[in-house]
Amino acid sequence: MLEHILSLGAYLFCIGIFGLITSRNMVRALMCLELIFNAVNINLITFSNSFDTQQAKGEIFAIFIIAIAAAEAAIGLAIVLAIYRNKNSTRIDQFNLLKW
Amino acid sequence: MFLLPKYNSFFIFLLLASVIPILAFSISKFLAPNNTQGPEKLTSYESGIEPMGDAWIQFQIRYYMFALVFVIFDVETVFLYPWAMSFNDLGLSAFIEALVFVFILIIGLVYAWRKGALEWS
Amino acid sequence: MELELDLSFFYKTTILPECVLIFCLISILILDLILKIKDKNVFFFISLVSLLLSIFILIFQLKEEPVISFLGNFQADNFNKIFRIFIALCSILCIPLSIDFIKCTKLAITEFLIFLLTATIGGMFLCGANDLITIFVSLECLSLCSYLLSGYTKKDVRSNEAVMKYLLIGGTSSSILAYGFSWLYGLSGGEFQLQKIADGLVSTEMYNSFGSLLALVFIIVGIGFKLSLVPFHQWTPDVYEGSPTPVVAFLSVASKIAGLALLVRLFNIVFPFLPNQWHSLLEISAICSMILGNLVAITQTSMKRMLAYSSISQIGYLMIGLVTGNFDGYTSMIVYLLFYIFMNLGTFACIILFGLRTGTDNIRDYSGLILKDPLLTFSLALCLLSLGGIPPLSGFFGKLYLFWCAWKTGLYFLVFIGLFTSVISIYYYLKIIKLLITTENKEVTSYVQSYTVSSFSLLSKNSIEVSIIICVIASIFLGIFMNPIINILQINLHLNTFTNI
Repeated sequence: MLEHILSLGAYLFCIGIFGLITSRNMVRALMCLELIFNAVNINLITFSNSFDTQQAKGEIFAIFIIAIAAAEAAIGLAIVLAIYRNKNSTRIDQFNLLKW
Repeated sequence: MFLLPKYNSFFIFLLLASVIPILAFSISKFLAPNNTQGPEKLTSYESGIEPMGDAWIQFQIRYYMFALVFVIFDVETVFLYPWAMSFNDLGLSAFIEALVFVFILIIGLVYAWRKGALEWS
Repeated sequence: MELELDLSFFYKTTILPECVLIFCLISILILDLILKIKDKNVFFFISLVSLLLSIFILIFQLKEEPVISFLGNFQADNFNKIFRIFIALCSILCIPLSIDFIKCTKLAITEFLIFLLTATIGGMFLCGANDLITIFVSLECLSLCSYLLSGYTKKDVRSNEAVMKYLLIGGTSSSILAYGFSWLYGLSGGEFQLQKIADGLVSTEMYNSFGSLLALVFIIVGIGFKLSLVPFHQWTPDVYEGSPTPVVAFLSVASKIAGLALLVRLFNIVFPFLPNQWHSLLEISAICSMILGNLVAITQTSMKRMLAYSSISQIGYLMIGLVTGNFDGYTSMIVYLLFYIFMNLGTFACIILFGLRTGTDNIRDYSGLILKDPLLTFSLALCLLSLGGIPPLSGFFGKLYLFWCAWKTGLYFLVFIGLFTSVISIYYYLKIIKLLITTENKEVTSYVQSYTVSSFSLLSKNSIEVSIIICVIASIFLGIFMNPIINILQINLHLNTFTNI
């Protein structure tokens, strides 16, 4: 049972990383970021369910991760807004000013 | 598929649940008359009147301001639930700590309000 | 379930310095909301005073015994306290740099100060955090504020691009770190405090398994992105070039200090039984950082980009002290960190001043600056030479002590690479200094000709100059007083829990 859920978490993690590397849209990249955080949450809750039923520290960590991921998504969306006002686009590959 | 014996009923349910929409679509395709191909077939249904514009519209940027403020204050309340559930066990000190937490949140809300993030202009 | 929350009131003095800063933060916010203060200098004054106060509290607390407070979530020993002092010091030196910049660009002052102070608080908590939740939350507190700061000039497209890259890469790195933490939590059988994780890993006999190696690799990757070690450094030059310069000055020191403290504590407490693995991984990345940072810095044309690569190489030098791994190694790392704060902030202060007066940061636009402002040229040259490690300046003594400690432990290859790359770095620093002191008139660019010099007196109102003077004096003379500094550090550090391995 444990290894199934852990492999689900690892699978979600890989999907998130893959999406971050390949996505061309900023909002989609932020969604992939959330996916990775959800993989972490799945891992934590599984471990907490199996080893730590007394104190449930993993679930507390998961709550903190949810809150922080929401803050990160809010900041990301604010940045997307600022970018959209300046360039009328949120595509990542149109940003290539900074390079050597 | 049946490696996990506790989940047999769940998997059967999952199978049934995924079959039903496929069945619904395929039956309607099978029964529907095939010869009515007009230009109006593909337009979106808007209560019988002529549709105005595309179904895919861009939301106004003002919605995002509210959405941002809402997301933050919505998610921060997740910390209040565990505290409320065990309010009787935790005692006075946890109450004071929760008050500090709520106080900081209120400062944030007042800040957003004073800076005009909550105004529809 | 036994809950001992009432005890936490007795431990409040351990986080008193942070509490002072939080109080200052909230009071700035409330003052800005209630009063319509036109003269925003009051806020700078409040934040500087509170930072100074928290440094004094930390210095007085150095005598106390190490305690673990808040049910084991926060550890206050001397190693942490020194790092917390360093972070507050960076903040104090960075706030004067940003005053004039913000006034010239007409940005909001209150929010800038709030982000800066929140980042400082996050970094200070990160240095003392003793369990995985506190580490993660304070790390995110630091990095979320850094994203906001680096995108602070939101009308500027370059700043937008920089913050976009920084947010995506920073978010990825913290999620990778959190994934590593979740493995640590599982492998130790459901423990969160660092010491208990180490015990748990031993009791579940997982300490040498593939899983703990995986967790180690994930954590190294996560922290490596934050520290911009070499395989994970690609974001650094872009973010440094695009972001506002005072913010870059803060990020280049504060995030490195906090990341180093986290790295040292996490690996020494949690992975004491895998020393060869993490030492060798860090050694490889240190060698790569030194070589690549210094080689690529030669070809740069933008000053901020050049300093980005230079900071990558400096983190490589700091890694030498970590890889050495004994008491002397950590002492030399801390000494070099102290010198690095002053050298780097001095350089950035000079660049900010030049950028504000001319509006450019290309290296070739600096040529002939000595004709217009000899004092600025002099301080920039001294800071750069100190970064490169020219003998009488403090950077030389710092590097010497670092290399000597590594040599004693037998890391000959690392020391050799360090010496070799230092010579390369001296080459490109000298190239800039040669440009600065050209006196031929035809090479003086239009930027320098339009440069307006103000009276450079000690009583002048320009706060950047005060910062420059402090940094330059420190980066010249601190090296001479190196022995007392080392003595003070060694006396304070020997109470520590893990450096006496």
